Amino acid sequence: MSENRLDKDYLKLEKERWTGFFNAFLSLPPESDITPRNAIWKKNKVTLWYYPAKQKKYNIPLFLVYSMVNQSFILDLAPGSSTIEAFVHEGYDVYLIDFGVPGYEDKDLTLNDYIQQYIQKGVQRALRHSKAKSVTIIGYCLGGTLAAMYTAIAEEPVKNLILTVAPIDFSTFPIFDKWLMAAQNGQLDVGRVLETIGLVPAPFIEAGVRMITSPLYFSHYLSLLNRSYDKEYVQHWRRFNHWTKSHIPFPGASLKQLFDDMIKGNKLINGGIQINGKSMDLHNIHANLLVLSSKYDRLVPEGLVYPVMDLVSSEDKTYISLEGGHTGVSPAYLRNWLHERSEPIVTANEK
Amino acid sequence: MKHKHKRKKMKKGTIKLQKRLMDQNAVEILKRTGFATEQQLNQLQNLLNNEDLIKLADAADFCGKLKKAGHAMEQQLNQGLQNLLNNENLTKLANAAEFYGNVKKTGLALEQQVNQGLQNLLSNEDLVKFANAAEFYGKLKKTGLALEQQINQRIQNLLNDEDLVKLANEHLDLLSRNFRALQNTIEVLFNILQVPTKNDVANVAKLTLQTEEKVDNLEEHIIKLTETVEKALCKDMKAKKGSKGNV
Repeated sequence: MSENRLDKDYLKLEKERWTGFFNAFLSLPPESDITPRNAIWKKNKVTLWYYPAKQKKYNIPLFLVYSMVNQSFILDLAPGSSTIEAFVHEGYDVYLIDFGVPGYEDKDLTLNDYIQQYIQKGVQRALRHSKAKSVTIIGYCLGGTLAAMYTAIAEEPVKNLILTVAPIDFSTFPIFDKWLMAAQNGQLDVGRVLETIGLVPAPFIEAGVRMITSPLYFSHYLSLLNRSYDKEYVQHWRRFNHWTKSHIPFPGASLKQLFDDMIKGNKLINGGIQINGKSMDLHNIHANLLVLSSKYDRLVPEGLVYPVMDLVSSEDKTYISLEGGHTGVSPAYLRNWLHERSEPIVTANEK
Repeated sequence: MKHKHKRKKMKKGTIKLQKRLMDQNAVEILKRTGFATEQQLNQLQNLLNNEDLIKLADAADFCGKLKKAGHAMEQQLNQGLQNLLNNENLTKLANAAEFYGNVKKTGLALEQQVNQGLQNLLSNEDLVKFANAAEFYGKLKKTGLALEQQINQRIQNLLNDEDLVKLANEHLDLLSRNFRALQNTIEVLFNILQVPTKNDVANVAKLTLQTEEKVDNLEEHIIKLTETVEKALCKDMKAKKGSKGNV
């Protein structure tokens, strides 16, 4: 009897495992963007989302800038695994600039346009909406690079700047160093092909990112198979897998500027970028700075992130190297750092 | 050794004394019966009146008394011990010790039973199957990840080649020229066919974006104007309140 029961349990587990595995591909992924929000400003494809704090505890709001190569719903992936949800529960008002999905008509948008037309205007709107005296800017990946560039030319009061796995120094790269050398020596020019394509399609972006991180990618299916009997894990896996395949098209002009100014000219370090007639110099950053990098990040290794520490003029600057990959940065590390620098609202009881 | 020697000496002395005492009685008998002369009898008397001999007699008496007292004490001690051992509390204590001994024995037996049971449970084939299955998928994941990393490393090393960079650069140039030519041809062809191209759609969208930009700028101006007016009104109100207060 007992042997039969165990046999049944074993078969049941295996059945659940394989059913869960195949079901993960047969239905649409569960919804993300779960935290309540309002759109307070829209322009072209860009939306400025406002996530009100559960119970406001800080005067300085957070302004999030996400990368241009993927969609920002990774910041609000699922209940319990959402950066934005965590901030909102901590008592911060959160603003997220969502660049949307660019169309062919946006092919001429440069990085400068993104900074000037969207990020700067978005910060102005957020300041006006929150009636705050200053703002904390948090940039992720390429969004971090844009956030650093914006802060260097900002007329708005930026109290804190947090750069999460943001590439700054492109002088060296551990993978494809010969391609990088060729680009730096002028032996490789992608400008003409980018002008011809106009808008670089999302699959090209995905292929490029894959080529740098892992050209052949199947281990995530094995991770799923290992725990596909666990429904909660399967839900999380589907959401995350959906995000890894949610790359967006990249305006050719922006990619050309990224290639010419950052990869070829390394102008964030060497200088020479002009935004709206202003010289973009990272030495102009005086905001409190927190730089986060990941030890096992293959897309943006630590060597690309750290040099910003020596460039800025901030007196209060912190660098933290975390265990994990490109998307494994937890907001828990930000909690203490932000708390001290976000003007906590003192209640009558605390007085 | 010294004590033993002394005891032996004492024993010998006691025997001699007893003989002499017997001899003293013998002197009386000899005197009465007239078997010995007066002189001989006097000599014998003097011999028996020796002080040392008296001391020895006293010592023998002391030893006898000591022996008796020893016997009495021994009996008393035995009685006391027997009384002590017959005590109820001592019986309880003995029982308690036995109880804990039994507990220990039972505990050991139980431990052995549990260990045996666990071993039987762990050696169950089905359980081994479950464990093996979980281990299998875990190992598959680890091995797969290691393999993926190795393959990716190999691919990246293969692609990180100078000749490939040169080839790519030449082809990119050729590709962009050909694409541009094709795009131009399509533009002309679709223009004749009166079919809008992606460029036409993008141009219309750009017009909308331009309008949106203008509206956004206007909105900005209106907001700024509203703020300025509100500030001016506030100042005016304050000034009026101030002047009323002065009056």
